[in-house]
Amino acid sequence: MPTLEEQVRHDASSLYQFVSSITQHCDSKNPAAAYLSSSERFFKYIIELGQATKAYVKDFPGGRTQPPQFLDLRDDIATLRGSWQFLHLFVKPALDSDTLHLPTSLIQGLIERFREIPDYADTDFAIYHTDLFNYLNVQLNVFKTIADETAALVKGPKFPEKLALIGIPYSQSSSLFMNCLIPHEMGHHVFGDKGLGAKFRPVVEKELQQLFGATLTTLDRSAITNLLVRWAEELFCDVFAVRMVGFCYSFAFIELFDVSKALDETGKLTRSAGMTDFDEYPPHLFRLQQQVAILRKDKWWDELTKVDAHYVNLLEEVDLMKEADFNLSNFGSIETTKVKAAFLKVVPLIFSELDAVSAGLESGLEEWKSVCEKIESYLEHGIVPSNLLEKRGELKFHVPSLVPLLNSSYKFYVQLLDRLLNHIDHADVSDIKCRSDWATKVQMWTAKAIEDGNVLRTKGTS
Amino acid sequence: MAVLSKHDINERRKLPVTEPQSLVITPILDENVFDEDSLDLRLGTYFLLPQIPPQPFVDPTSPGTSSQSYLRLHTPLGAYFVLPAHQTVLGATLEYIKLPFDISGQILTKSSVARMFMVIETAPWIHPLYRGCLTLEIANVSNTAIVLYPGMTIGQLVLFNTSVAEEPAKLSGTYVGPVYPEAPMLRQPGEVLYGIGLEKYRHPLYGWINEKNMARQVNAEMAKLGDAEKSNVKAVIRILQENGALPADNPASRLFSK
Repeated sequence: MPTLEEQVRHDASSLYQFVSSITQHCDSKNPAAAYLSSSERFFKYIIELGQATKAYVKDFPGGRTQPPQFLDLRDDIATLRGSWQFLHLFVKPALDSDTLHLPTSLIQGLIERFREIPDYADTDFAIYHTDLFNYLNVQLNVFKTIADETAALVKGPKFPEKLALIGIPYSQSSSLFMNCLIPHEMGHHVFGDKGLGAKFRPVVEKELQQLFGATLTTLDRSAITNLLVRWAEELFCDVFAVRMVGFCYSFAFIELFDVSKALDETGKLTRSAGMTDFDEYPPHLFRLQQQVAILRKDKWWDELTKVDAHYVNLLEEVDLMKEADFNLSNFGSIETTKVKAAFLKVVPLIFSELDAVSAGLESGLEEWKSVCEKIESYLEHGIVPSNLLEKRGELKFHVPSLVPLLNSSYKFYVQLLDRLLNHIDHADVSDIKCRSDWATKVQMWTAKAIEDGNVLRTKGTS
Repeated sequence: MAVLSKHDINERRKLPVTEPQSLVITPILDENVFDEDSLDLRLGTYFLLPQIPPQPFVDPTSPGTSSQSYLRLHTPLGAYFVLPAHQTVLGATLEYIKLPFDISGQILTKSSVARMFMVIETAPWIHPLYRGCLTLEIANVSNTAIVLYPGMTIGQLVLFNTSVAEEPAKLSGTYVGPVYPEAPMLRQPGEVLYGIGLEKYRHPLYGWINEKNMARQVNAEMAKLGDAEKSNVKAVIRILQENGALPADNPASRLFSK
């Protein structure tokens, strides 16, 4: 059997190879691919941390001669390998997410929009593909903790400040409308950054104490508290997203989760089974109800109810639901009415925290009201709505912002796609492929308008 | 057929898109792109790079050729794209254009670009009512590689009045509303050649083909068979297809897939 020193040398060499293979991917990425600056920051960090890790293990076992010292080194190697196994999960998906395989203009627009919140004026988001169906935000505190612990051990760089990671389903990488869900993930970043979990937790604990007294076991109390804080986080992220981008978030939510199946043939909400139960997450219909609340608060609602579309019909139906319409499941013998009551006490707090973190963020409603019809008219005629003629006979144009563009375009897709198809020879409004093809075009034109707008606004001219 | 002046172009740009005479060119990043009788167009950010095909030739009418023959690339504004000597690439204009029903257009290589021995367009005519970013067939005919920056002015758009009297009821055309360069979408030779009265055509791999005659005869023979026999024939065809003896682009394969 090799000596302990030889074993340590072997293990260090193995780790060295593993880290090299990861950093090599970042170093020798496809030269034809382009990346968002945030992704480049992420790759640069991985390379630097990798270099520091390799430098740290390069001389193992160094001057150490005693078996306990060798065993300490082995622990270090195991710790580093565990950390790099975690970091490894994100490198390839981030490399796959070059600007060709992302809705790049939308992401740039959303990041700019996010930065309108004063506290986040310099925050960046690196986007990576995930094979999961759901969009997801990397728990940055977990990522940062692991990266920073690794950095501390190997004397490497700390994870960049103000950089967050968001995963989008690879299948949605070219869809504009579905990616209106990204602001929800940005909400998770805010939730973690502002420590809202820690703010909500004592409120939940207090409510549970008042409602249950000493009847809950410590284990149950802890589990329910964690669950309610998680529900609060999801709700916060929903209402944050609506505040950030308007009703297009709710439309994307309905579309992704197929929530409109809750409507019957008369447009009434009678097929909602499975969408009213609080479980791991709050139920879809409850989440939509809270989105309606924020749409009303932000004055979108009165405008939205004028829209003749089944998504709006669904939102109106959801708005009529009562607390009693929502249930809790999988709670065993615990009184679920009390759990629900405790959670409902937290909901107002979610809204007040939203107001606090998004103070200074203009909704975009007024601009939307002034340009929506015009954007729809451009789309109806197959034209990219990046430069809207302000007045007939005058060479003055308006460059619409992200929020009016997204909401007008999504509304057009849901409500008025037939108008576009009616202009196209051989287009059949009842043909699913035809509708899908032209819906894709509407998204392409909108993405192009966002891209043009990003450039036009930078230049300050139209 | 008169060339539109800068004034004429701008008068058209002042019309709402709902009016059939309206002209849209977006984005106009710099008013200096206008000349008295033309305006400069910029290079867009997406490219289709021709790839070496698996066969010794490219048959543009073969199904799937478009997607297999090009590598799609994105070069954001600020980055560059290198076009090697004697190489070609499909690009697109940064500007999205909507022509009125009574205006045609032509895109020309900008003289400064042409003097670098680069050609940007070999199908320069733009029909009335066209809308989309213009696909550019960019060829570097020089002996050195050339660096291309998306956003650089690369072509000139010249617009002409035509005598078309009224707007057609609907938009038509193979390429409507593209914002990326588009690969060719040619019709099958059978569709085109039968239309001008030819009975058969010669395929580069399969020789002389008469699809109509083949379909007629096969259908007649199949009609004589019972369900079980038809099922056996289909099974044989499936075996041939799955084992590469009857490729998807073979006209017989198309016949049986129907």
